[in-house]
Amino acid sequence: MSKKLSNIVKCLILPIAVYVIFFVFSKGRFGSLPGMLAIGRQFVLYCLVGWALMHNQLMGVWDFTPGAVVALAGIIGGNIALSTNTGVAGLVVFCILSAVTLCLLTFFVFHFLKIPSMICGLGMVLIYEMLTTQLFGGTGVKLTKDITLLAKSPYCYVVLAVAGIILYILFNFTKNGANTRSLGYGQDIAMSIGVSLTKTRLKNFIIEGIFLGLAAVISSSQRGSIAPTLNMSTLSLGFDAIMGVFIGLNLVNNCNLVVGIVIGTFTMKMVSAGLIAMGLDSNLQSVAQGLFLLVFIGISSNKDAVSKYFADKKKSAEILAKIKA
Amino acid sequence: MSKKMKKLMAVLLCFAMLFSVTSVAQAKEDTADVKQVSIGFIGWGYTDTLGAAYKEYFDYIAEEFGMNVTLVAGTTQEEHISLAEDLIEAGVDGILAYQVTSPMMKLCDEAGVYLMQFGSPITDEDIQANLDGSDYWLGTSSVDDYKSGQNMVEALYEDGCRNMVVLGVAAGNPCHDLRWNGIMDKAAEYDDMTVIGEYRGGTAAAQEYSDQVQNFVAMYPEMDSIAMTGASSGNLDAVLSALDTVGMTGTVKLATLDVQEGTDTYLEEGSLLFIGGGQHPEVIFLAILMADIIRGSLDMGGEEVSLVGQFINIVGTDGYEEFKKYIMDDFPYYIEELKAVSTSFNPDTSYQELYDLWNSYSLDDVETRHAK
Repeated sequence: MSKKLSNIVKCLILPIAVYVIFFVFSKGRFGSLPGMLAIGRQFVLYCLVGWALMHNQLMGVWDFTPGAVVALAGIIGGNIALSTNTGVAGLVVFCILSAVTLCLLTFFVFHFLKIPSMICGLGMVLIYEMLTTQLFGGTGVKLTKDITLLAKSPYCYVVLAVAGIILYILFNFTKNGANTRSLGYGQDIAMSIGVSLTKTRLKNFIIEGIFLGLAAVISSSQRGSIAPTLNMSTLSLGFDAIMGVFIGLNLVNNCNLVVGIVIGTFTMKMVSAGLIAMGLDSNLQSVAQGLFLLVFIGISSNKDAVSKYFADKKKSAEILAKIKA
Repeated sequence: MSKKMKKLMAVLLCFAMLFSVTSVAQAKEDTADVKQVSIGFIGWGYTDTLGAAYKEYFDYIAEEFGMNVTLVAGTTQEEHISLAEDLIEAGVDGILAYQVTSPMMKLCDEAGVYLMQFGSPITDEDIQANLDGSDYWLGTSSVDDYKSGQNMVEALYEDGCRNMVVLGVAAGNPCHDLRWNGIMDKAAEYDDMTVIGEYRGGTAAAQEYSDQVQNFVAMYPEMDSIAMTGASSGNLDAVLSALDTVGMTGTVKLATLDVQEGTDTYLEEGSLLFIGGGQHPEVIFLAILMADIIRGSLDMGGEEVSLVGQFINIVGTDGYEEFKKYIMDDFPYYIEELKAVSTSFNPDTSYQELYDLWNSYSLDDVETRHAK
């Protein structure tokens, strides 16, 4: 089997296995075409957020703000789009502009104040969530049906496809993508050979803002509204997306990270839907999702150690056989 | 700036400070027909419809009733305890909270601060035993969350729905837990009604609800109804948008609580069958009682306060216009009506009269009192 084909098989084993398991255990409820289309519509949002986090995650920056940025950008962009009567195009433009501005704010606080990314992220989440309760009279935004087009298929897939192609190019064929990877693998070494940490981080936060802006469009269109939120309730969106990024990072030896995040996010949404199809209690759904992630990451992280163990054992057996001979 | 100017500025500033102090003192005196009472209110937040309604109502009555109300928000028990400590440090005379615990009661006992719970009765026997032993425990108020959960299912059943999905907030929120139990118990009473699935999300679960509704519709084609324990925080829009995305508007019926903006549109298009709300005056009655007790104008004689109110239910389009006019866009109880049942302002009234006024709460009752 060629290496390329082998890699494709290794990437697809996980989603196919998840599909088969839930199809069997749900006695056929899971896996129908309407069901998979529903999963597809949902996964668009989380994939966009996963892609948004990708560059920074590679560089070791933990950003907990995606959910808060999506909420706040959706509120700002949605309200401006409604008041300027600019329709879907206005929603997209203003959400992206808002999200980029918010991400740049996060960048300035994180980079120049040299606050650890986790602490910075949590602090900015509190600020952004507070802003959702203050701006526009604290009423959030309620979109009219005519501008929620992008929530529906096939439009959401068009957004995903275009965003995916742009990200693939940015990550694989631009200097910034190369710099991101080199800083991710060894920051000190990369900086010593002239890679600018500041410029790379700045560009990555702008990229994050663009993708979170698109996520804000999809989220607000799917929900029809965005309400103000507090008490770090927005963290869950980021965590769900990060799970997909983790799976993508574990598949990086077999496929490009952009593709890996697609596979990871789609798999996590299949798990979520599959647990519903099995009729599992809500509490058990959360437990099952957590267990799935732990098992997958555990196997993935230790597969080299396991392979080495069996390879060493085989080699020992061969040496012993030679000695006896 | 020259020395002379600096001296002049300093003198002017002193006068300004003196003036502001005396004006504040004067303002306090003006509203102190009764003794000022400071109350701490622990809610879950003030951005959802119900929380915002609480805040608006407190803003309406606080000054007239000589109350200084400090609003804080917490969701977990640990946060409640921590917030209670902060409020006591801030010098409150009483605390209203929606999740009273034994450690909170201990803190209040030590500080001589009164404590009450709103939203639901005390259901934990151990906590009740601890509260009973305290002089500073005053009692509870509740609305019929359990019955309202049952009413939702009843409305769906009478509309012909038989295969229901239940959406709710994760266990631990007393109001939502009671609603959830009411839904499940009522559904179990009907032999030909099935709960085909359930999902319990976080407090801001709109995105989760949107996703899961689409999953349920795709995987359970027999689904014809949804009972959701709370419509606020964008949940109503999220669920109905999800139904619209999959082309099920009007086919899958929704019953929920907490009336939102846009409810009339949803009722007209048939996707929303039943909604209950308008329970926000509950906390005002409790605050008034607490203030009366703190001032000493009301003596409960060791008896625990136990106020009971109800939701106002809207089924179909009937009643929504009146609900909006009298409940959403106005205060269901005006200052004068509330003062009439407060012993601080009307020594001839009693706890029973206040109890009866709140217990008789309904749309008809408000319309009769405030007919326009």
